[in-house]
Amino acid sequence: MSSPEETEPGTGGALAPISLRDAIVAIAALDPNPQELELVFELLQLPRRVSRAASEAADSPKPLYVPESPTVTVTPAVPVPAKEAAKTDSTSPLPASLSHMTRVELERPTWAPDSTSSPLPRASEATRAPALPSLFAPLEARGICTAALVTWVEEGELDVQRAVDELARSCSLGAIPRVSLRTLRRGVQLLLDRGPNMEPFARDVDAIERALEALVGASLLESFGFSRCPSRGVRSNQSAELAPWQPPPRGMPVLVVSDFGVSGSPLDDARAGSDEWQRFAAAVRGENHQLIGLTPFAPSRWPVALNDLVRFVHWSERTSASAVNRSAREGRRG
Amino acid sequence: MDYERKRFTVVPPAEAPPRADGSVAFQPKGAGEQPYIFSPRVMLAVNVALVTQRPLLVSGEPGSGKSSLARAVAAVLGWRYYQRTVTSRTQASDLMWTFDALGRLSDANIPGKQLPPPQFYVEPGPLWWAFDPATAAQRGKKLLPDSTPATDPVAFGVQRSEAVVLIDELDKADPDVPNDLLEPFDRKTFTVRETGDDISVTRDVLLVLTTNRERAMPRAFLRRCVTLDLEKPTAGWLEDIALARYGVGQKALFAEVAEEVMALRDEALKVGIREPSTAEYLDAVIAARELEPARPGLAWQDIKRALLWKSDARFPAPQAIEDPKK
Repeated sequence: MSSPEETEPGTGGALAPISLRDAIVAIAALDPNPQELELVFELLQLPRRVSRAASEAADSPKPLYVPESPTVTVTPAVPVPAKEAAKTDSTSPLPASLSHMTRVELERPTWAPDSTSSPLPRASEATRAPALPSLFAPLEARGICTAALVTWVEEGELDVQRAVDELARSCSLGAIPRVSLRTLRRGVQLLLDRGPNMEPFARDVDAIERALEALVGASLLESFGFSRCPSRGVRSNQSAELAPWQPPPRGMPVLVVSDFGVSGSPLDDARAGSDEWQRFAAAVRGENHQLIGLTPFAPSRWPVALNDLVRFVHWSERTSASAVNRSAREGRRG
Repeated sequence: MDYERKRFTVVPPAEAPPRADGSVAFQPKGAGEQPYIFSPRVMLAVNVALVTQRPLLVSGEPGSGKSSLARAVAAVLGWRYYQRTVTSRTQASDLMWTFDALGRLSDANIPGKQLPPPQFYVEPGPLWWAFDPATAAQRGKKLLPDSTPATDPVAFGVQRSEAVVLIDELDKADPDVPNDLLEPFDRKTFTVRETGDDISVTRDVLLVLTTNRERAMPRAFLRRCVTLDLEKPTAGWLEDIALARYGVGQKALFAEVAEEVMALRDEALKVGIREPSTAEYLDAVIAARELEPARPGLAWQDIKRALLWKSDARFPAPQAIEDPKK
């Protein structure tokens, strides 16, 4: 089985990623027309730099005003009498005194860039919010989430070692021993802390919810929001009503994204304390569910009292999928 | 495109010339096969997958014809056709072979029985049948004297050696499975673990994979496939499919139901439920056609709710949409 990390599997002869070579092969074999050529690049998920360059150049917005020389030459202002202006500009809703401004002669200093010579940004570019950097290293995110949520099923090939051990001891096999396989088919119950202490991470929390939906599928994701601790009630995305937390279906792991009460002011009376989290974690574990805690706060701050109940994952770009895998294996053995 | 150079060409039937957008209706000769309308985009995607020898990963909304595409391509090419629908329990090796470990263990416990070699317990999967039907039939490279030949699950196209393999709903599998398939997809070879037999491809094989996008495919996997996203249907497209399947006799009915489906798709989009698809349109056409004699006693709204508006009471079917047969 391949590693769960988002890595390029098998460099020694395994299928290489699609490259320009594939496009060349397709073009040579199929002789596509220009429209089909665009589609070939799309089907192969290749950037269409070459074929798009010409059309983009044609589509690029023209500068609103291109000066003939660096010096902006305008005629000195000539005051326009209000009455005359009203006569000549009947469409203006403003009084002539406001709609006709005095023009002055300007000269661009040599150190200032010529802003009129570059096109204005496209509307889509100008309004697009900057992308939020992921709290996990982007290439590791999928692997980390997989490693954190994976459960094990004994559905693999025959576990020869175990079978031989049993038979060698002249024991009859009560069940066919099979090798354990990792699976995500049990889905995940996701509990997202939307409280004040996690407010700085609100967009990251939204992003992790989307990423997990893409990983396990919407039908296998139970997502709820809560504030401070799920034991105070949870809200589904479809309902504004606060409801008591309910354990998920059998075998489904529970992932809590929270500060686990370690941040915020110590004077905040509403803060969930270690005891409250401990009771909640015990309730989850009592139902035989794995409990995984995803938190952006450093391991040194994780509540010690929860160590035996929660398998913590540090929500940080320094976290690796292999480390999470290792901790999951250790947790399983424990 | 130079039609002489294409690997995959659909010759339009005389009675159904290509549409204005270049789409061609394929009318299969075999009984039980369904017509398929190939858009120029789909034809090009199949050609690109064939010439680059890459798997074709087809996505699109449920009922948009992803799975029937592979079958139709096999029928056009006249190639052997194999398919396997993936479930949450499917492992990559299941697509190549399975091994009856339980049967072997059971046989081993029968006193005095001569245990057959492991090859006896191997069952070839669709990829093995597509790669090399000869070794698949004998469950390995060596011919066992007393072994029953494995049954070829080929659906049609036995007269040709090349094959189309549909691996349907790959997104239902665990995330490791697609990556585990990369090597057999690339080298077109795999080793049967229990027997050590190396099975290699002996003919042209087109792999068609489908996804409902319930889960995102691993990026590493996507980068190795030709990806085709089937377009959403239009009223004209739906009508053409009904015409290709059921003939021109009830063209007006097809158009009316198509309009209804398109209106319901808009409504579904607004309330956030799944839009009725091509498959559901065809069901509605059949229902409207076949239930014609009983129509006065049937509530079209109920048929519509059952076939086109598959939602619970929270999203009642829009009443404003008129009965298409009125």
